[in-house]
Amino acid sequence: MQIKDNFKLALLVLLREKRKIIYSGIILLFVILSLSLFVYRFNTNKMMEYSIKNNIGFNTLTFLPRSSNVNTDEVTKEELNEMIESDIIDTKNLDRVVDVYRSGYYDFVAISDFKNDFLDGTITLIRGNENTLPDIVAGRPFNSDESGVAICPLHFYPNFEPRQIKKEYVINGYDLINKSFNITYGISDENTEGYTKTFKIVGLYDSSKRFNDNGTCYISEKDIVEIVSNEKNATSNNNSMLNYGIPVLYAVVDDKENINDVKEQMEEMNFSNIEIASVIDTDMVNTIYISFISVFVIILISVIIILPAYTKWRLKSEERNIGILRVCGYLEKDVCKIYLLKILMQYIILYCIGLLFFICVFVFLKENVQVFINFDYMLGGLKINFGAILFSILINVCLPVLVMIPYLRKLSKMTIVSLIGEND
Amino acid sequence: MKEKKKEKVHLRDKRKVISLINVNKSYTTKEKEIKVLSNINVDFYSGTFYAIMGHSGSGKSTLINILGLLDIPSSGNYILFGNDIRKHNDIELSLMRMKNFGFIFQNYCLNNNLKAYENVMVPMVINKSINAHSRKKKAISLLEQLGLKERIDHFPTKLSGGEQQRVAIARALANNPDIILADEPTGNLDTETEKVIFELLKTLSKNGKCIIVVSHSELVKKYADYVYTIENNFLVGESCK
Repeated sequence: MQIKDNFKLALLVLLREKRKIIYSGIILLFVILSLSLFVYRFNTNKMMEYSIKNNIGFNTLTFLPRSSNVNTDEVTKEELNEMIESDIIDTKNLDRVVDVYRSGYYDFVAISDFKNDFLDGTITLIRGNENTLPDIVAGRPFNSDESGVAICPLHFYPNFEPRQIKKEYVINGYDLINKSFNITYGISDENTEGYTKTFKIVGLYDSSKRFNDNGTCYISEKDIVEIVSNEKNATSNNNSMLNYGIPVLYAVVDDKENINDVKEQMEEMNFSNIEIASVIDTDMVNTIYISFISVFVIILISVIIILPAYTKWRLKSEERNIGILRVCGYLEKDVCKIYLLKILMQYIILYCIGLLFFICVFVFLKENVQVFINFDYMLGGLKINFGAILFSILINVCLPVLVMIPYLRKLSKMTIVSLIGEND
Repeated sequence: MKEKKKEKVHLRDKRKVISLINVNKSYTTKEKEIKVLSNINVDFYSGTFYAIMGHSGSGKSTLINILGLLDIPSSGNYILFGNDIRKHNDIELSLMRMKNFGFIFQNYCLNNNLKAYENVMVPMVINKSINAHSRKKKAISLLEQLGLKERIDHFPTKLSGGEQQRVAIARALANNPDIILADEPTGNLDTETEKVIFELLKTLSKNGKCIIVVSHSELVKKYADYVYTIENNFLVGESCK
């Protein structure tokens, strides 16, 4: 029997089959569930990877300066500052340490002149240098000795709630290259005008790769120190303990893998209270992992049990038709091929419909539902990965068909008499 | 003598298609062996209408299943067109079944998901001597010959019992077999339709086919050339018209 005849007969039987809505609905449901699961897993993995791998807190050590034991009554503010600066320099000189700073000198939130009717112009400025800047996707990085320059996000969203993104107001970073913006800060009762600083945007970066929000720009250490100091001066009493305390210091290591080495070196240098700034929430990670595995196992078992069982039940009603084919001279293998093709086509067609539906819903959610929009920007794009499609094909098409093969062979090997039913 | 001469004249122009020689059939259960057919010795010829009768459970369907190569005898010889079927494997038997036999069943056994002409085409798909282009044409022609011109595109569920059985007859004739086996072909039909079916089968026998019908109906005796009865596992009561 020619394969095209097999195909035609299988297609005919498939298209003309009655009461297939429930059956098709079940298959579609499993397709959509499995796709959702794998896409969720992929994007969650991406989020965890970005939040762990690209979060600078995981390769940052917090520690107290060696002068933390000094009696502040016995030293002047300037002497204390010198000690602290010396600690900073000594730490910076360690191998693999790429930046050291005082608490409060890492980032700064300011109002920019990106403010308009829709955006309030709030941006976060983070210190950066040649070793700590993110990968630049357009323009250029800046040097430590530069001032008044900034690296801003590709999809720039300067707003108070930078993760609640309204897509229509996102600023295309490419429109901002080599343009300047001002920030205003340090407004107080004594300084009613505040300070203004101008930055020129010299480069762009992908904020999702650093797990930053879309309103975060990088500026030089020089500038962050200037801004924070001015802000402190404008808003605090110079003689208060806030300006005269022992600050916590932060040391940024080039890679998470080297963090323990650096920690040991710092301990040898008599620094104390050395801790990694960010710790993985293993409970959360485990919860996410276990929930994925649980749902995956449930879907897998359901597919292995429910779909073939239902298919077998439907095939039982085909026994007589199979018997007639055998009566007409069809071989066991012909019958097997026809019905296997029919089952395979059914699963493939339904899978394609399920996939199309899933893609449409996915795109709709990504474009219109706020929480998906936020994640879309946070992760540099929510994606339906190829692996999700591949695994869901394996589970929803290959696996049920494979499970059916032994049953089909058994059915086709039944005696013709028992297939068509005896009259006598 | 005159009757014997008549018999010789009757069979001389016909070809022997099937010979059963000392055929026995029994089934084995856990407790015992159940004998269904004992020492069946019979010949079947082309162009002849045979009826096989007997009470329910006598083994009529078993016999017709053996004749149609759907079942194998427990012992004895089955000679089909001079070939002992025991020498052939399953694949060869399937091929022989396709080429030489057409089947008609009490419940019509049509595929309700296929239209009338598609049901008739089913046996042709595996017949390499009929090419794909002529299958539909031949199927339609057969249905037209059986008076179903207006029903070609109908599904079986839209046909009457008699119409469905005629579609089944057309399907049985699809590969132009020499032998038609009918197991209670009129079991679900009214008397008038029964006559139509038997008339059709009679016409086929006059056209050279060997028709073997299992039936409870007394009406079949009117059409059959030979009537056999199965009693106590034996084939008895040959009669000749």
